[in-house]
This record gives sequence, C-alpha cells and structure tokens, in this order.
Amino acid sequence: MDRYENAIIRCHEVTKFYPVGDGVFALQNVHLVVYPGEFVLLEGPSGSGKTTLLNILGGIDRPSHGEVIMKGRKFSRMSEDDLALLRRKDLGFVFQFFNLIPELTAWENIAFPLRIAGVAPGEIHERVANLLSRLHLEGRANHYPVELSGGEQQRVAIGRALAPKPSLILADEPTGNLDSKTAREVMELFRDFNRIDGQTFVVASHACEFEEYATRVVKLRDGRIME
Amino acid sequence: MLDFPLLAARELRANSTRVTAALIAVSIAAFSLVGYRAVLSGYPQGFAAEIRALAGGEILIFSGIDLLTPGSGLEMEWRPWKGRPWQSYLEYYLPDLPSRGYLAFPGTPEWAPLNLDEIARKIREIPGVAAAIPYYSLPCYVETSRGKFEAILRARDPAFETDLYSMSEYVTDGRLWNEGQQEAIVPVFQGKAIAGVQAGETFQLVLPAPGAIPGEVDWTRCVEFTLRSSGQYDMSRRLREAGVPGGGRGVPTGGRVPAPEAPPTFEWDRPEIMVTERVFRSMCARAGWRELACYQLAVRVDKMAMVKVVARAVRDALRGRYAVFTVPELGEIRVAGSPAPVALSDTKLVMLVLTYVLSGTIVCGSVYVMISQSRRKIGLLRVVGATSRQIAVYVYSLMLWVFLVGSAIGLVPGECLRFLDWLGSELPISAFLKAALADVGLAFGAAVLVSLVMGSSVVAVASRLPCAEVLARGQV
Ligand SMILES: Nc1ncnc2c1ncn2[C@@H]1O[C@H](COP(=O)(O)OP(=O)(O)OP(=O)(O)O)[C@@H](O)[C@H]1O
Ligand SMILES: [Mg+2]
Repeated sequence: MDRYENAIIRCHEVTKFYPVGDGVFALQNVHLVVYPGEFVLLEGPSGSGKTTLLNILGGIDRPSHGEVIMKGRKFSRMSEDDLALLRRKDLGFVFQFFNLIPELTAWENIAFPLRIAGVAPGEIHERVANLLSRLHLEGRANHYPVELSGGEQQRVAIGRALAPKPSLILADEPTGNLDSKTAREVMELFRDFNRIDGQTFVVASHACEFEEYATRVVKLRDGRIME
Repeated sequence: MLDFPLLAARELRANSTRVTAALIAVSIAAFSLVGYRAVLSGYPQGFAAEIRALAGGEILIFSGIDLLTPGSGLEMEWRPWKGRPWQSYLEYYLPDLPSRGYLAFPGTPEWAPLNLDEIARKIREIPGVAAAIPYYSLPCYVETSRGKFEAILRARDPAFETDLYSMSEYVTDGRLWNEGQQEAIVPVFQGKAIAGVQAGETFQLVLPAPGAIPGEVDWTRCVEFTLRSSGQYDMSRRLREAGVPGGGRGVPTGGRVPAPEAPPTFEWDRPEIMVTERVFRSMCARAGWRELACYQLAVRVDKMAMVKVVARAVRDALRGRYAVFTVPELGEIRVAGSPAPVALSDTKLVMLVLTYVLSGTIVCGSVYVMISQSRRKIGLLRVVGATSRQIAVYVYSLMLWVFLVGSAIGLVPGECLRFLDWLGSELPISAFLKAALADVGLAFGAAVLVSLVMGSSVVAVASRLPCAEVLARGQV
C-alpha cells in the first residue's frame, strides 16, 4: 500500500468514448499505476488506444470516465492552466512527429520549457549544455529543426522533455518515424536516462522489439490492458 | 517571459508575407498621425510675416460675428454689415461683406467694440498665448499741397515692436517713429507713398470727432494736426526682393508660393498711417474721443508652430461671442473669395482615428488568421507548459510587432515631411527633434493602445485554445 501511495501517476477505470459512427471505445476501464524509476513499455497494435492513454495521462485529453491522479491531484478537478503548470514541472512529452518549434534553434527548443518556467539563466545554460552533450547534439545547438535529421530532431525533443527534470516522460511511438538503427539509439538513450538518472518513462510502441529496454511491459488490446 | 515576444518576432519574420497588408495599413496610420500633427500644429515661423507684422500677431479676434462658424443654415440669420472699413481688417479679407452682409446665429452679439477685459480674462490662461495687442484706429484725412487724401490713423505701441512683428523691416525710406514726437510712418503702394509724403516732410492730418451713434464719426467737428513723416513703409518689399511672382503687389496668401500663372489675388492697400500709441491717444483726446473703441485684437503666440492649436483654444474659450482666425486662415478666405466655413473641424482627427481602427482591424485579422493556422503550435506551447496568460503575451506580441514595425515604416516618410517643413520654418533644430520624438512616442503609444484594445478578442480566442490542439494533423 505504501508503494501505491508513492506512485507517480495513477489512472482508475479510465474510459474514453468517441461518439463517432456507432461509437468507439478507445479505452475501457483502464487501470494503470506508474512507480518512480519504472520504464513502462505500452505495447499494442495500431488502434489499441496507446496514444489515447498517453494523452489522458498527460492531461492533453480528458477521459470520458475515470480519474487520473498525479501528486495527489485529480486531473478532473484541474483547469487547463493548472494542467499546463503541472506539465511544465512534472511531465515531459515526446511525440512521434517530434513537434519542435520551427522558429527556435535546438538549444532554444530545449531551453524553452525552462525559460517559460522562469528557471535562472545560469541553470538553464548548465542543463541545456549537459543535455546536448548527453544527446550527442553538441554541434547542433544553433541549428533550426529544418536543418536537423529526423533522429537529431527526436533527440532535441527528448532533450526538451528531459530539461525540466520531470517526474514522468510520456513518449508516443518516439521511434515511429525513424529507421531501425536510429530507433535503437533513441531507445538506448531512454534506457540510459532511466538507469543512470532514475528517470521514469512510459513509452508507447506497436512493436514488441523494444521490450528488452523496459522494466515493465503493459499490453493494450482494443482499449483494454492485458497484463 | 521575453521568450514569447522573441518567438512572435521570429514567427513574423518567417511569415512576413502574411502580414504585409497589415504592415502597410499600420504604416499609413502612423504616417497620417505625423501628417495630422504637423498640419494641425502651426505654420513655419516666417509664414505670412508681413501680415503678422501689420496686425501685430498671428491670431485675430473680431467683434461678435459668427459668419464663419459652420452650422446648419436653418439656425442662422442674415445680418447687414454695420462695421466700418477703418475699424478692422475684416473688410479687407471679406470684400463682399458690406454688400452681402453675413450669417450669424440668432442671439449672438452684433458688430460692436470688443470687451477687452472679458477676452483677456478668458484667454489669459491659455498656454501658448504670449500677448494680445488691441487695434486702435480712426479714419482721417491727409492734407498736403498735393491735395486731400483719405487714410486711417493707426496706433502702434513701440513696446510691441519686437523682431517678428517690427515694422522696421518694411521701412523703405527714413526710419520708424521716435517715441514722444509727433511722427508717423506712411504706407507705400506700388512705389508711391500716400499723398506723396516723403520722409522728413510734415503734413496736415484731420481727425473727426466722435459721432452721436457709437462707432460713427462726426466730420463737422474735425481737428487738424501737424505730423512729420519719419519714414515710409512698404509691405511688398520683401516679396519683391525675394522675386516672388507678382510679389510687388501682394501679401502672402497662405504660405503657398503662388503658381506663376496665378498672380496674387489681393494686395495690401490699406492706407494706414502709423503713429505711436501715445501720440495717437493725445490726438484722440484733442479731437474729443474720451474712450477708444477696439474692434480687432491680435494675439501673439509663443511659437508659430503652435498657432493652430492656440487658435483653437482661443476659439473654444470665446465660443460663440467672437470670431477667431489665424492670419493665414484669413488669407485663405480672401483667396477663396467666399466666407466658407473654416472653423477647424475635427474631421481630420476623426479620419485619423478611423485609420487606426481600420489598421487595427487588419492587424487583428491577419494575426487571427495566423493563429488559426497555427493552432497546433499553440497546443504545443500549452503542452510544454505555457499558461493561457503566456499565450496572451504571445498573441499580443504578434500584434505589437506588426504595429511597431508598421509604425516605424510609416514614421520614416512622415518625419521626412516634417524635416522639410522644419527646413522652411526658421525654428531651431530642437523644435524638429522634439516634435519628431513626440511623433514616435505618439505613434508607438497609439500602436500599443490599439493592439491592446482591439487585440483582446483575438487573444481571448487564442488563450482559450486547449492543448489538445497539438493532436491536430498538420505542421507546427
Ligand atoms: N478523435 C477521435 N475520434 C474518433 N475516434 C478516435 C479518435 N482518436 C482515436 N480514435 C479511435 O480510438 C482508437 C484508439 O486510437 P489510438 O490513436 O489511441 O490508437 P493507437 O494505439 O495510438 O494506434 P497507432 O498505433 O496507430 O497510433 C482507434 O480506434 C481510433 O480510431
Ligand atoms: Mg498512436
């Protein structure tokens, strides 16, 4: 029970219903608890609800039913701005399509969440420099996203997610747009940050080839967890 | 917090074509603002110098007439003209006045001597008013061996003969009067002095006694004086020397150099014989005038660059009771040949405000389009932790940048115009710099104000976009 209270994020009986056509249950009664230091691989075929679940865990989307609780706070009771402030400090996102801000350089993209959170400039410089070196992006600091390869862009996006030292990083098919070699490099980066820094991850993937990196695999089928 | 303005600037730089129309609109608004201010404020210092020296100031106040006040014709009534040519310059500017009468609002005062105390009380506190100089005059005859000539005797207070308003510049022969002596300067028209009186020559001057009705004179009881001419004055001299076409006859007609084919449409032909105020008063006293009536008051301003502003303030202060014109305005009325309404209307200001509202609308529209095309980016900013306040800063920044850059573009030609205006104005460079700085301040202030007020609706839309927008398809 102690362990349960320690959880980083919990979701209870989360259901997401889309009232399109005959109606789609993207998620049904999903119960998931993520503990500190875990590397959860959310695995399931296309359409199984991985993206939907990650969005709900990140407060980007709201469930039709059920509750998500992070740091003792219920998402259903929080406003958009409350959630934004929570994400700023405690949640990092890595998207399949990178989603970098095209007008900002690699350095600025990584620094951005820190700057809007009002972190001191000295600390920002230190953290960004550190991340750039660990992500092997030293030479790319002043490049704009269009000037970077897919793998480099994704590493910048990972840097941006890691920069605020969030409690949890949610990654939705972060390797989906990369070739298999680059994909492995990205997963290895995740594993390193998980093992060395104790960073908690929930990573969605439709392939089971990455199970070796995870500390736990959660299988989703048709919106239900098949543990 | 500086990241959002920076981001907005980069976004605009990358998408500059999307805001081209907005930039043009804003630059036009800023240009109009400078133009409005430059046009409104005043005239170059050397402007209408002759007529200002003659009148003693740059704003003239006349007795209770409303003939140039715009208003609906229904409310106004025609009145016959009861003034006399020697009382004021009005008949000079409006030659049709005696034959056609004038329009006035019912109940407004008839032509009568000015209540100088009342006017002084009302305009004393107006900033920019330097002095008010009453116009005292009487009709007279000049008698020499060459004959008898009608003229007007005019008082000049030597204390008010300061550089800009001094007659000395127009003295062609001899000098100005010496205080305390029975001396006069006589006008020259087309090279000939009135009655042919040369400098140093003495002549007889006949003044009438006051008539039974106020404002009338009685020639049956006139008094004769002997005056010495200290010199001659010629108002057209400077123009002639400057080679202005037709300058031999005219007085500036409103600052525009007349086109070669259009000779000046009027000439200064008022036979004003000028004496010092002390001499004038002693002569009047001897002719039986116990008190002197004044029908025209010249107001001097601190700065020519503020004439219009001061004239407007004076007009407001005296609302409805007196007619107030700047000297250049009177020149324009004379050229136009009709008593068209010239009271400074606020149309220009309304137009300026409309221009700003229009440009604000275009800016808001452009930014709205930008925002709706980058909803996903705003969603992303929200995912990364931006609050709705920060999104508001971002959107306001987009608008402010457009406004500031557009204003800067519009200020360049505006200030060039102002600079040209200054070149011809004889004002010190500091006057130009001050005005230019004020332009910049006002243009940017207006930009900030319009963005804040008109942008709030776009900001409201943008800051309410949920972070789920990031899930939408398409490029960030
Ligand atoms: N906005 C939506 N409206 C209607 N149905 C939706 C919507 N988003 C997702 N769905 C449905 O919900 C189900 C789960 O979708 P989701 O995107 O979570 O799957 P996924 O596991 O991420 O798939 P993939 O591996 O292809 O990304 C799908 O059947 C999908 O059609
Ligand atoms: Mg998905």
